[in-house]
Amino acid sequence: MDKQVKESLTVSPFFIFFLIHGTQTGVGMLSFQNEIIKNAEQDAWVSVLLVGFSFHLIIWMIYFLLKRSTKGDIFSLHQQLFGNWFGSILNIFLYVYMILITSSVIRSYVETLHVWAFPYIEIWELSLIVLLATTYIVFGGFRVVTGICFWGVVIPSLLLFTLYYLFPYAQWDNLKPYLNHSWNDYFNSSKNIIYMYLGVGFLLIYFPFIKDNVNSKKWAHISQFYTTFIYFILTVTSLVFFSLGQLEHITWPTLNFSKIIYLPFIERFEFVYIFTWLFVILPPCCVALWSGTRILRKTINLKAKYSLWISSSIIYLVVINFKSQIEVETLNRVVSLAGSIFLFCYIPVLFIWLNIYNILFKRKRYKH
Amino acid sequence: MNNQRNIIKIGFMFTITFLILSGCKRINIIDQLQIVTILGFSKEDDKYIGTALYTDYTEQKQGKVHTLQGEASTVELVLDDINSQSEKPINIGKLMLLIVSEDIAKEDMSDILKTICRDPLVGTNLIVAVSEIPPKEILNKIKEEGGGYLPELIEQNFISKNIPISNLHIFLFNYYGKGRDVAVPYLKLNQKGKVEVNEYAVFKREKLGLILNEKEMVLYKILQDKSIGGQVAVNVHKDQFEDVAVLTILSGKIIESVSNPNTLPRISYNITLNGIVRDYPKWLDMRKKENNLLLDRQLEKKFKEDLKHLLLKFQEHNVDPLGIGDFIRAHSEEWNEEQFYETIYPTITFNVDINVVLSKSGIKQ
Repeated sequence: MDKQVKESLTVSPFFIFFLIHGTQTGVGMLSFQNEIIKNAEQDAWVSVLLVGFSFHLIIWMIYFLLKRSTKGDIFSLHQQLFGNWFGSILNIFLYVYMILITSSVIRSYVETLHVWAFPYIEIWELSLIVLLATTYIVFGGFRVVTGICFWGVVIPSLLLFTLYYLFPYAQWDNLKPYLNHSWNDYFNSSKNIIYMYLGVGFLLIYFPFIKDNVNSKKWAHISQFYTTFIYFILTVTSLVFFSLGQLEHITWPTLNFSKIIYLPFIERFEFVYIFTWLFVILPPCCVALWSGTRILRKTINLKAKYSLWISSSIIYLVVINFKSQIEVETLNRVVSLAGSIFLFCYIPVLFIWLNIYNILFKRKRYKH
Repeated sequence: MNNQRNIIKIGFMFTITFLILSGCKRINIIDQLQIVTILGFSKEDDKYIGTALYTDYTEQKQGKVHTLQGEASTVELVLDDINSQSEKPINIGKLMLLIVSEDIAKEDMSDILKTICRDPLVGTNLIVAVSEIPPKEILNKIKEEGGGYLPELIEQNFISKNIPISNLHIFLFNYYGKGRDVAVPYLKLNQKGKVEVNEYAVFKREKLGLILNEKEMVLYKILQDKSIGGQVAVNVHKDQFEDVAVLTILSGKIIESVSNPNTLPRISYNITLNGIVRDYPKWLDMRKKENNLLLDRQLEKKFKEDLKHLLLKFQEHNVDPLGIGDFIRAHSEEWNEEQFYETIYPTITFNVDINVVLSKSGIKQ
């Protein structure tokens, strides 16, 4: 069973590291601290670690599913398990999810740009620029998208060095008293953290484009571990740099880190952060748009370039219709809920169903 | 395929050019902006009076410093009023110092802070200060010295001299933080008409609570442990002689600990100060070991007394600029802010252990 597409369209398995890490870090990284301290307060880092480690289980399940699908992606799995017609309906749901993710990331980033950098430029202009850039990248195919994911991981990693300026203000006592919250608090805090790790879901769609994909799971696990590590560092830094009361009042805490940095040639360092963030949001947008295009191509058999333009237009119409900050937050919450259900409910359900299916119909186990 | 690529490229270039050309409000050329470095607020008959100090670096004005004054009922409208008197748009991106007059500080200075903080152009390393007299008088006095004179004066004193470090980030950290109170520099004009930063204003939640004098300010700086430095004058006596010696603190370390955090807390400070004494009375011969020990012991005794006195003063006025409440919160299971300051804070006992390490006092005996 060939789980790969044509050799010339594939990328080496090493790039799974950038694909997963790039799509997991997105615009959520700028303001996740506000949500996670609501229940766990100063123990939020525990929730971050717990959710991060539980994602390893999800990745294992995804690999299990994909190894047993006919063509190595979720469309063939849907067709296998649910038949042609119902499988297509599920694929359309997935398409809507992809559109929502892209819209939510672009709209949140444009909101950040609008508030911090360009208050007089209209939302439709900023979103048009970002969306056109994304479309142009996706036009190049999966290999170009992977390239952007690579740069979207490497270039923003340089920003991690600027955390050095925050150390003189660190109050390590903010983390104490350690672990004085109930499991309920950690659970409620975790619900908001799942949004940060959603990028893993795209693996179900681009899996056939990875060379030697059945043996590539170590890269996925390394990537997940690295993302957990980065989020852990950011969470601890926020808790130590800001007091809890401050975190409740500040929007975009990660950008507020940069406000304390003063260099003689840059007065407001956060512009460096905000504009580098374009590199951070391009990976999830491009991968999601590419996945959406592929879903249309596989399900409705629409040619790639038409499905790309149609998807872009739909995303644009969605993005410009969310006008106020509250509406944007609602969009983010809907996407976060949809993603959590997709990854934490739907994947395990598929997993169980596939096992039952295999046992009931005693299919020959596909050789790895 | 190539044709399509060309069409797309042209389409992108056209879109981008079109977007850049339209709109003049998007362009901020630095020569055409009034960059305000100091902003001062005072209150008169329920109206805020704002004074902005800016430097004009264009060729015509050649670095001349101007002040502008605006009057309105809210902070944003004050900036608007100032803007209406200026030939170039006012921009607070390079705001280095925010002065609030004492009467606003006694009521509630959080309004001003919150409005200024909401502007994304403001950086958190800006210095917030309280002034005894209305800021417009101070700003008019320092016009000849240049736009950056006052903030740099304060900043220079943070590092090596007597003023504890304070900027907007520390202000917000303490203001919003539970179990902490805000403390900022206190400005006033001395008899010669020069600006003096020798005192420190401590707040109680958002109202002005207490003003520390010069000596107490240095002791507070030692306890705060963010940058230990400064100079302290201490009385020394030997036999029948009595005079003043000045300790220059180079560095130090503080270990804070608490015992019994839930019922009757006892806070202990274990302080090590490294310093030199360059100014000591002539009857004290520092080459003799016994004089060194004498000086050392007297310094330690005086410090211990003074520090304890300061801590008791904070307790008496029910202010907590050192974050003792927060420290106890970190070591106790249940902690409620109001309850803590009502019942537990007045009962805390303090213990100060100090060790002054003197290194060789200068190159000449």
